[in-house]
Amino acid sequence: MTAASVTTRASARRRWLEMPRARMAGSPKVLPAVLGLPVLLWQAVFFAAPLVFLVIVTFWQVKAFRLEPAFVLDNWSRILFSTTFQRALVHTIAVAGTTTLLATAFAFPAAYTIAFRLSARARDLAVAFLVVPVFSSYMLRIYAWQIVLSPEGIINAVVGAVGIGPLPLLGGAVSLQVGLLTLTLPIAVLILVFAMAGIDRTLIEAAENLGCRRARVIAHVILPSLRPAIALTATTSFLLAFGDYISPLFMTGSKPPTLSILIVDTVKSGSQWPRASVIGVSMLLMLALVLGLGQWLSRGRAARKEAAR
Amino acid sequence: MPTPFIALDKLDKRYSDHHAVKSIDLDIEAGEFIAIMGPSGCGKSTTLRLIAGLDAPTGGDIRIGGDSMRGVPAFQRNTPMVWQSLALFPFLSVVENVAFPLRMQKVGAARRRARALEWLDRLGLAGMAERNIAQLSGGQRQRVAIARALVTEPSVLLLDEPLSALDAHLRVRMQTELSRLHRELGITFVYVTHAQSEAFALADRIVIMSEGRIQQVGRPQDVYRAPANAFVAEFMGMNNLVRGEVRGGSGGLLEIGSALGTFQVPAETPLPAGARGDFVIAADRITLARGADGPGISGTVLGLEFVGSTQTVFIETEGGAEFRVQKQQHEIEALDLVPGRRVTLSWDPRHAWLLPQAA
Repeated sequence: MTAASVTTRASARRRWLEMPRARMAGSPKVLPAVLGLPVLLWQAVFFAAPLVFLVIVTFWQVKAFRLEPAFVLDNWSRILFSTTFQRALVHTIAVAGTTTLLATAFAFPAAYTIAFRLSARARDLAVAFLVVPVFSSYMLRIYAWQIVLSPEGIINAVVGAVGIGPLPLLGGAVSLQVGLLTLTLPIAVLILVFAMAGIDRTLIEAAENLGCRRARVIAHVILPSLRPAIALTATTSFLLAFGDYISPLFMTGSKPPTLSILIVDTVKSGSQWPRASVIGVSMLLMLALVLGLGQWLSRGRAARKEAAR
Repeated sequence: MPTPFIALDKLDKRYSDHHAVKSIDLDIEAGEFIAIMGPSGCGKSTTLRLIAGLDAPTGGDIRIGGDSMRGVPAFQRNTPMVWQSLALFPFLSVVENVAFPLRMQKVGAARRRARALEWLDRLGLAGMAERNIAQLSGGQRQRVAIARALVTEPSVLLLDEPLSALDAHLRVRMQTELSRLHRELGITFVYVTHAQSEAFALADRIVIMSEGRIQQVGRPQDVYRAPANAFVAEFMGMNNLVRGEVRGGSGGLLEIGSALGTFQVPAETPLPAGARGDFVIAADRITLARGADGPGISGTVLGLEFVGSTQTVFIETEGGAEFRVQKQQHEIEALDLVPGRRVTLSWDPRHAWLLPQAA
């Protein structure tokens, strides 16, 4: 082998190695698109397509327990004008609204204590205790509450020992809220803790320096700084409570029914997939409305004025 | 002598992990512009926070207008501060930010707005009242922060490195602005900075701190010409420190022997032979001559550095010491100073300053 041939081989290899680099040079535009493609595909297949199908199904018909493609408005008019649906809608909004208020009201002082009053180590521990339930089975937590609240449960055993009860703790508005708060409260507290941890401490000191007493700092600095986080807490709580199926089923025995209970009932009674879809689409519209409201509220007054200009 | 407006009396602050302020005493007169300087971690910002009541001292006392501030919370002190980060409230408009302290004092909405607008006007922000903070430039935000601090017409303004976030051009403009405000208002300004140029340009007196202790207090030119110790001399930057030992002396001049040779240094009180005789010579007091054979210290030019209209010449002497010499551009040209050029340094003995030796 001559020296010349070695040189040629080396240069050829160099040229081969440089080729992909040359193609990479054009990548600034191509690469992000390529990387984004799987996500787009995933969204299209598993989110957009079912959603479109859900809307299409609302116009289909059920004949002899069989779903048939059609274009009828019958499902929409029957559901929207039925008192069952209207009552369930009002009930679900009332329940989810109550959960939203309770979750936000309970979460705020808890988050304030964790973020501002605890030492760094205690804070980490508290956050860990909040994260664990979020990842444990919701079903399991509801069963636990059933054991606590049922007529033969822990609370009734305790109050029974002093001659009270048994109290009807399970199967009412209170037990439903207990169940829904089990779902929403840890998340609400977490959102607020992280938002409070992000507040610039200099702002609080500046307020005190400018004559704001400690107690007024919450109203004048912390609350205004948390505006977007409070809106996020409220919308998240509402969305979770509004669509929840497990708490209404196990804590109240589905009476009165919420919209998610109604969907299951509609499907079970005569395979009314189209009507169940109508309820589903109505729920989605409701959620979109709430999200929009949350977005609007999270913007400050000044920013809203700016947008209106 | 009148009682000082702000008096720090054996003020001490100890954190769990370090001793930030070590029993300092300082009297600040009413209407004075005082600058506290020092390297980062010297305790200057902690001192300011203690005056504002944002931290509680672990010892000593602060008196403002003769009253002890012990147990007085920050919100009752009326010692507004301009923060390095400005700490403007992003959720309030410009005018609401400025009116905030008045709102805390329960001043009526119409009145506080009028007064806030007045201050915005005074700082040249008349048209910005309804803007969001995010829409302002750095210099405009700076002015909002100053207006917000002054709107309650306090008798003292605390400033914690207020100009460090601005670019050089704006910094000079804001210096002029602060100087004007101080003159017009006649109130006490306590200004914490690490920038010598700001302190020199603004302050009546400067306080040099290091490691929690006050090293020197005095008028800028005095601190510059007559540093109290080696730390201050080196912190002032443009001084050359020569370490030596007293050999003898007569007629107000001490003879000091050092690694670089023997020098005459003026001294108010005679020192015995063998005492420490460290002295400084300011960079702008040194005469340079071409060639290495003249009287004085011979050395080699290492490099030059532009500082505006003057240049700093770095020279390594025969003995291995490094000297800084400040010269006008035309002098540099006349001497044809380039790196590697041999030069001789000399100075008038009267310009040398003997450091007061720690006994």
